[in-house]
Amino acid sequence: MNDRFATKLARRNLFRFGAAGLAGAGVFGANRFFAERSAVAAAADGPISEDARYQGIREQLGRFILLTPQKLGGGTHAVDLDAQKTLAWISYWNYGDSCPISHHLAAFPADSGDPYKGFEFVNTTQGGDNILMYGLPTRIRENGMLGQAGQGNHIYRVGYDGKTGQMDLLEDIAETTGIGLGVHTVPFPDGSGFACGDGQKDIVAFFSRARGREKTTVLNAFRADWQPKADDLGSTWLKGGRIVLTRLAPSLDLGRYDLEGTTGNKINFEMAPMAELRVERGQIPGNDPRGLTGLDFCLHDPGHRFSLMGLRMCGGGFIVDRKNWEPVCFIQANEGIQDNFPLNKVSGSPDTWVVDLPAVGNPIHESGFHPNGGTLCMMNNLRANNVAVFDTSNEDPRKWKRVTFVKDPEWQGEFPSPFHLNYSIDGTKCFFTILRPKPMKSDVVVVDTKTWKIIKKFRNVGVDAQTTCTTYDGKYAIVIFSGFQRMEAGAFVFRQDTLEQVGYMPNFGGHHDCVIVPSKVEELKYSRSCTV
Amino acid sequence: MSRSPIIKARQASLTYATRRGPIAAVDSVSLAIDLGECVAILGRSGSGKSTLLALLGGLCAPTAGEVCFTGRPWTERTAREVSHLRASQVGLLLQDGGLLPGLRALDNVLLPAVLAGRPRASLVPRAEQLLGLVGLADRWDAYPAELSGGQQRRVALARALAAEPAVILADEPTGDLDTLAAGEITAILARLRADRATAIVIATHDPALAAIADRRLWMERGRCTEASAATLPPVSPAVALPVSPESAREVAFEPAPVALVPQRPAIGVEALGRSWLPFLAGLAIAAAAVAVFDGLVATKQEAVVETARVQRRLAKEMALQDLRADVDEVTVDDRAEAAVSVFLQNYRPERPLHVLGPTLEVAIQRDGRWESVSCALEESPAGIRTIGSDKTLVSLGFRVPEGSYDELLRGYLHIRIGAAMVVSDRPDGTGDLFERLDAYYIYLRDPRRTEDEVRRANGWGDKATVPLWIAMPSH
Repeated sequence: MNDRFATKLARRNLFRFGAAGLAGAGVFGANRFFAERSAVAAAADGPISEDARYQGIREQLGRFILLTPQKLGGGTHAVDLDAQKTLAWISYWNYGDSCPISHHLAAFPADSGDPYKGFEFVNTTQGGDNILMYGLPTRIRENGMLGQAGQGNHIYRVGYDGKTGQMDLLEDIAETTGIGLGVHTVPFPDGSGFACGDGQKDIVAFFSRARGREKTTVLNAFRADWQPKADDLGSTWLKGGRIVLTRLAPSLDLGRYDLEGTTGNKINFEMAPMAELRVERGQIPGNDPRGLTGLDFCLHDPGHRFSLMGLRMCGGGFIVDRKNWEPVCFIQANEGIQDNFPLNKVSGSPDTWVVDLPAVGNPIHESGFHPNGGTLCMMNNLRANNVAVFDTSNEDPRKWKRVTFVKDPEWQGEFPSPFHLNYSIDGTKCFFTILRPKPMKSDVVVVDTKTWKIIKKFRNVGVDAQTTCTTYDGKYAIVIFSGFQRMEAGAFVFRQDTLEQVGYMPNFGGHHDCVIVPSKVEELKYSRSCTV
Repeated sequence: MSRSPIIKARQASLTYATRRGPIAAVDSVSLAIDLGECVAILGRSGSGKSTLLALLGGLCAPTAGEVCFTGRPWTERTAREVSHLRASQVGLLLQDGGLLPGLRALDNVLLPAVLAGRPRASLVPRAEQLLGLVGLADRWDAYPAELSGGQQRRVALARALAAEPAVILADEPTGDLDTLAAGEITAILARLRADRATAIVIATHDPALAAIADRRLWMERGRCTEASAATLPPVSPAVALPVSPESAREVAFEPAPVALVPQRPAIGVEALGRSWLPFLAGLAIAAAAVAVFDGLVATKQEAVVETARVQRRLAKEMALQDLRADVDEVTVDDRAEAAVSVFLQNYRPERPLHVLGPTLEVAIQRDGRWESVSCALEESPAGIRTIGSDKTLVSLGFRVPEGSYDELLRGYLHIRIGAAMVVSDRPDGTGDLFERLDAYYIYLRDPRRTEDEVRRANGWGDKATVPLWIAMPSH
């Protein structure tokens, strides 16, 4: 090589290209450095937030059956998640119900251990006037369809027979027992019975488990009534009062309970989610709105002894010992208010207990026990939007205490509101639907059950996100959303472990609930026994 | 008289590097050319004559040794200095003449002097004189294509003389010319040589031309020696047929440089490597460059599209997720005049939200159909409203219509309130806009019926609450 050429190369080109290379490497390194820093900072600052991707499901979800009631569709269908087809369906119109609003449901474990061979589930329908809530220009009343057969509050027990591939109505438990309730349906963790609630009647009833053509019996039933301190409707709950809990007995005349249809309704319309304040604003008609407690759900601790009867208007719930059917205490979720109240039994004929609340800060709604029974979550809504977390590890419910709250800066005002919940099978996560009023699309958040911090948000999942359920193999979580007012509906699926989105499944009719049929009793505590 | 050399080469070499080895075109040549001296360099084709001329004229730099012009090596001069010297002191007469086809003979002659910065007008007489010198005074306006080969070579010679150079380097000035034309050139150069004003270096294998030189040098394989009578070809060439093709080739051409590695011609992979691989490499580089450019453009376009998509999504999210709108209150007076307030609220007040409207309309249900009701906003439209975390209320009034209506709930009118609004993140309404259409449903108690009438009609208890209006659930 020529000396001059070498010198020129070394002094000019090599220096120039070398400097350019170093500059480029510097830019690349700086970019990566700051990108990593921003990612780290983002992770440290808050939960991962991602928009729902509207795509179909491209993987098999396992051999599970998803039950979903078609709220305004008048029935329920079962989806085979393995094949992603409708396995079977039922419509209550065909059984003479002139206004079936299929509302909540829960399935019992298949006796054979294989739900595909057959299983039974219980399905409530809402009271008749609720069909008028949704802005439908219907003439159902004018046509006489809200009469005796259309009053709703049926409790249908339905069987699926794998041999025939059909669903069949086995029993209208409301007709059998005389107790018609239209909201949450929650099996006992051992599958030996179930509870139903209804927030228009303020009644929770516990039923035995019947099979086939057997008849269901009532194990116990309670009604809660509110005696407010304030005279005006607007302050009825805010200024405190007394809850009177009464054990119900069958009518001596009828030999059964006299609570079918709309009998016993205090208000004529359901308190739709986040509609509690409409009661105190006088916007829900009824014979006794001031006596309302909103007792519309009951769920059970995984240890199969205690049940929580939730009173939406009163910000908490009664704990009932199912061993002796005695109420134990009243727990309160409202921040800044005593969390555990003792009960005072004031009568034995009928059994009557009272608890005095100094104030009610805000309504509560959906709740759920952790599968290990150690904690309980309860939603504070409307005036406060957070989730109260109770330590329920003590064997004595009177020592259950609120320990923390799940909060989010976005949960301000009446909406968005934490709504239904469900736990991952391994118990490390809790999944909440976050309700936004239409046309807003609701979110799903994932909470770490050790820290009770939100670790992930799925945004814009769908209009009116409702309940969640989990496949028992620990892989998938399913969130049903419904669009009650004839809008979009579907099921959003994501992985329980990695929290990756899987996609959407279509469904029809506007669902409010969903449950995966368990194959064994042990799966009930991950199903609808412990969470609503 | 002692003359100082105008050009002096000391051990000057120029070696080309090739894939198969070096080729020494000029090998350790030392010579001196005095001012006014005429030197002929003879040798066969490929012997290095033209390369030596290029070295002497500073057209290229030696790879070893040095070439001095007026006592100083070319390589020690700046590029500007070399250019100036070549334009003013060196006259070049190339093998093919090198005339510019677009210029007339006169302009071709003028060109070096013009490039040297001299005023053109003052040069014209000199150019005419030079054209006269080469016998082409009458053809001053002829273009090269209109001249014969010998005439073109003469014009080129005139051009070489135009700058009154100290040295003329003539490379085969009589090559490929007929005898007569070659004679003309030879005669002109002979006259120049006689003047002794200009050094002349002629590379030629024309014995007649070489005969005019003071000295004759012989080049062979890049080496230059003083020519002896034995090495010089006869002045009158005798054309003799070669004994064999090989012998003819040996006579006509230089043998291959000894440093070259012998290699037989090949056409397979090696030929491909020699001819196609560089092409393919260039093609690959060009394709890579195009791909990189295309990738950068695509990345930029994707970024633009993504930005637009995100902006649209944000606009939609802002309109549907951040803006809440619903019926806030309904009142009715004794004259059945109703007033409806619709509230707007920003659930994410840190993100600005601006709304044009809403425009509101009211309809009641009759015979299963929605029938519009005449209504009026209670205030004039405020244009674009900025919506914050506090409720912004918009009211309208209407008269509750008389006559029959659908009573889904006895004593209540089924009313639909429609709201249309355009949402923007900018106060001036520019940027991404999103149109939102809402419908709110309420039951409104007929103001012409008492609460007791409504209770009785619905079968409610005597103390049952009879709301003035019942909102549909927000979900």
